[in-house]
Parts: sequence; structure tokens; C-alpha cells
Amino acid sequence: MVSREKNGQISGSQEERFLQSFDEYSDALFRHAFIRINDREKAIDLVHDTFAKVWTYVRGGQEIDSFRPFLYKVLNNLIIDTYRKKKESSLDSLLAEEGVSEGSFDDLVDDSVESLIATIDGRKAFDLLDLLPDEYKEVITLRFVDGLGPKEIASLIEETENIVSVRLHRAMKALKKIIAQQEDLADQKRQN
Amino acid sequence: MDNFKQQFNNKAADIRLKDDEKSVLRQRLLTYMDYHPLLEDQYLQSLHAKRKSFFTTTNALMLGRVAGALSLFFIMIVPVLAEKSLPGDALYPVKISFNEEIRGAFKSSPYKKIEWETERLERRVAEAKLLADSGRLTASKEEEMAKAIKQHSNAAKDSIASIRESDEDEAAIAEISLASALDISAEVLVGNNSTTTRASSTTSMLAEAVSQARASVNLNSNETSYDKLMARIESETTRAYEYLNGLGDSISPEDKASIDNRLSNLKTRVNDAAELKATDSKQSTAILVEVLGSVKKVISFMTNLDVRNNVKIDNLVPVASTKDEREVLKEAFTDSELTIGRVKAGVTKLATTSTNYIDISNGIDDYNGIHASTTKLLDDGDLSTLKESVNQMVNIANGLLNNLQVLGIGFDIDSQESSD
Repeated sequence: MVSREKNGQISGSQEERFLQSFDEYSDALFRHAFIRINDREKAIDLVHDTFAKVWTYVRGGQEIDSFRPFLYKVLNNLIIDTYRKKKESSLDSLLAEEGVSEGSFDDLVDDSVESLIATIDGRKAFDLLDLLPDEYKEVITLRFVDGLGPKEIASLIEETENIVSVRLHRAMKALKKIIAQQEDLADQKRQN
Repeated sequence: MDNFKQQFNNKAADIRLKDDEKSVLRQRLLTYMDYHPLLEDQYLQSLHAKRKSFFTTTNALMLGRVAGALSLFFIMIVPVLAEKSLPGDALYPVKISFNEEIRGAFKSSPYKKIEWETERLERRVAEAKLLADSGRLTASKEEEMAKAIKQHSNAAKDSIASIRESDEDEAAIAEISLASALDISAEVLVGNNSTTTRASSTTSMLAEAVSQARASVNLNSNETSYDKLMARIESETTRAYEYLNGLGDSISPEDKASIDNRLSNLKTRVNDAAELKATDSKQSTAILVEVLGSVKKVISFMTNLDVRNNVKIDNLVPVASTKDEREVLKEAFTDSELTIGRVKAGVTKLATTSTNYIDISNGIDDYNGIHASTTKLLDDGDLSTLKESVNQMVNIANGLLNNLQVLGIGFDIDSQESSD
């Protein structure tokens, strides 16, 4: 029997805990995968592969204290693999192609992420996510869909917290710019 | 910021797995887990690790040898010996409370648990048979085993109930498997095979327990999806043919032909169900439920020696009627009626006091007797009985007509018929 203890840890057999993690996180993982790759069937396959890989780890006798970060880590790696196969290029070259540079913390001087998003319509931002490079989409999804903090995101994508913050800031700026461009286009169409 | 997050999250919340997608995904995962179960030696490894720390503070070498030998004896040899034990034997509690419980603990999914509880039930029935055959089945042992059968069937039903919460189709299919296993056990206990010594009177309590368990399994074909049933029948039939081809000389040619005949018959019934789907989906699904149960029984007959030795395949899986076979028999029935009509017309040409008249009249009476009973079987009677009766009718009618023709009045009959 699986039960949640006072400290939030789950007791019970590894198998029961594993299946409970499926019941708890499969929707969230699917949402994350779908937003990132925009393909429903593929997203379902990725969630399956994620749990299959984690199960392989469990059956190898490894103890997992908390399934959530582990599942996200595996899923994120699988998504990156998918992109690699799709683009047939490395992440570095992908970054170069998309014009995403890591920048520095100085970028944050102009305006903070908080002040930026105060000016952005969340619904429009969500609809236009696909126009962003995946590195931006990744941090925005992890931050605003999955609700992870910069520290957790940094651990997950194996970057420093500073880089995550800068990337998030740049992502929001890019998103704001795209929204503005879309609005301009819409205005022009209306005038014509 | 909160406004952005809320708007963003509201849009994201619309993205979720549909119930059927989640159910299929969970099923895929459970299947993956079934094929990649937890390593069984983990349990032994953990025991070994615990003992290791103990040995470091004592005479590890000496104690290790003794404990190793004892461990080998108790962990490896005793359970193996216990597997052959029967109720009343010293090692039987090891078989029930250790071997089977350990094996049960490694059954990872509800489906595996159902299979395992069903197998345990079959093991109890097989044990009871062995005890009965050797005259060692006392009332108390029988009562104990009836209780165990009830426990195993209840455990299987509990697992089915847990599957039903997430997947009604799979639960219904699991129920079909359980019902088939109980039918087979009932057949084994009742013992319809005349070639072996039966002990039905001494196993009545067990038969009653199996019968009660079977009665409580409700095969509701309305619950089951047609497509899922079809898919499962396809995979089980393929499995059945693989077993049949792999049996080689371990089975008599008659049994092999009989199994082949049944599998062909089941295939025809599946086709009937497919045709019926558009007009009567309920009946169509009911046929598939029956077919799936029968395929499971055929597989059990091929793979379980105890079943093969104690049950006749004819009793386990009677050849059910298919639309085509029944139609052919109905046509033969009608043809025989026409033939006997010609015989009745022809016999009037004979002198009523002649021997030929009396013989043919007696033949017509025989025909009429069979005709009355066969008419009742035409639409939904047992196919093999119908087949036998129709064959008799055809033989009698043709024989009588032939006799008339030999007597030289065949031409007159045809003339009369055409003039009619």
C-alpha cells in the first residue's frame, strides 16, 4: 500500500510508488512535452519512454527519493534528443542558427522578468510559443507551465542559475517582440 | 505577473491526456513492466546484505559454511521439494505459505495477479484430484481445499474489480479468462473422461466451491468492446495454433484433429459475429465472449496435461453451430422431406399385404419419429446431435427410395410427382 508520510515522502514498494508517480505526473509531463514539440502522438510516446526509462532505473535496484524531478530530467533529455534528430545538428549549432546567445546578467538591467511579463498578455504569449527557439520555449514552459523555480530549472537543464535567469529574460523579451510584430501585422491588415 | 501566469496557465491547462489516451498509456506501461519485471534476486541480495554485517563480528568462515549450507537447504532445496507436496504432507505449508506467496509477490500488475490466483486455483484442483485418485482425500482436507479455492477466486475477482476502475474492457476480458479457468476446473472435478477412474463423489464439495465461484463471475458482454474482443481473440487464436503446431507427437492424432476442428469452428463463429455486428451488435459481442472463452479452454487443454488426462475436449469445448453449417443441415433436412414424400407416394403402388409394403412403411415410421425430434433442434439445438439426426433421416429416406426404385416403381413416382 502506498501512503504519504508526514514529511511528504511516499512509502510503499518501488513499484507502487512508480505507478503512483504515473497517475500524478503523466498529465503534467504530457503537457510539457506537447508544448515543446507540438505533436500529440509524439508527446504521448515521449511520456511513455520517460516512464519506461525510469522503470528500467528502478528495476535495476536504484532508489528514487522523489520521482518528479527525475521524470522531468528524463523527459527533457528525450525532448532534446528529439530535436537533435529532427534538426540533425547539435544543440550548439542550433543555438547559433536560432541566434540564441547566453548573454550575461547585464541583460537584466534594462527591465526585470517581472516587469516584462506585467506587460504581456498570457493568452497571446501561449499561442505564440511555437515561434520561439526551443531553448526559450523550454525555460518558459518549465517556469510558467510546470511552475519550477530558476534553481530547479538550472539543475534540470544543467546550467547555472544566472544563465537560466538571463535566458528566461531574453525569452520573454523575444516573446514580447513577436506579439508586437503580430499586432502590427494585424493592424496593417485591418487598414488595408 | 499573476495575471500573466493565470492567463498562461489557463491556456496550458486545456492540454491534458484524454481518459482513453491515459488508459492506453498506462496499459502500455504495465505491459512494459510485465516484460521487464523487478529483478527477482533483489530479495535474496537484500537478505545476503543483512547477513553479511552479522558475519563480520563472528567466526565468519565457519558460520558462513554452516549457514550457507542451511540457507541452501531451506531457500533452494526445501521449496523445490515442497512443490511436489500435497495437503497433509509436511512440506505442504511451505508450498502454500512460502513458495506461492513469494511468487505472488513478484506479480507486478493486476493482470499478472489474476493469472497467478487462477493458476493457484487450478493447482488446488489438481492436488484434490491426486488425493482423490489415491484415496487420501478426507472430508477435512476437502473442506480446507474448498476454502482455498474460494480465497483464490475472490482474490482474482478483487484484482478484476481494481482493473475495472480504469479499464472496463480489460476487466471484462480478465473475467472471461477466470470463467474459462473455472469451467475447466469444474470439468476436471466432475470428470467426464471415461478413460480414467473418476472420483466425482469424493470431490463434490470442491465441485460445489468451483461451481459457486463460477456462478459469481458475471460475463456481461454488454460491457466489452467489440474491437478489443476481436483483437484478443486474434492474439489468443494465433497462440493456440502455435501450441498446436508445437505439440508434435505428445498428443494423439485424433485429439490434434479434434482441436484443429474446434479452432476452425471458432474461426467461423468469429466470422458469423462480424456479419452480425451491423444488425445485432449485442448478439455479435455475446458470440465473441463465448469464442474467447472457448479459445482459452482449447489452449488450456493443449498446455495442461492434467486437463488433457481428465477431460474430453468434446465436453470442454463442444463444437458450436455456425451459420453455414446449420444452413447446410437445414437444406439436407428439407431434401429428405422431399425424398420421403416421393417414398410415401410410391409405397401406395405396392400391395398393402406385401412384405415390401410393410418394410417400407416401417421405414417411414422410423423416419417420422426422427423427424419430430429433429425439427426441434433445427434453429438452436446442439449441432452435433442435429447433424447425426439429419444424417439418419437422409439415409433412411434415400434407402427407402432406392428400395422402391429396385422394385421398379421409381419411374412411376417421378411421373406422379411431375403430374402433381
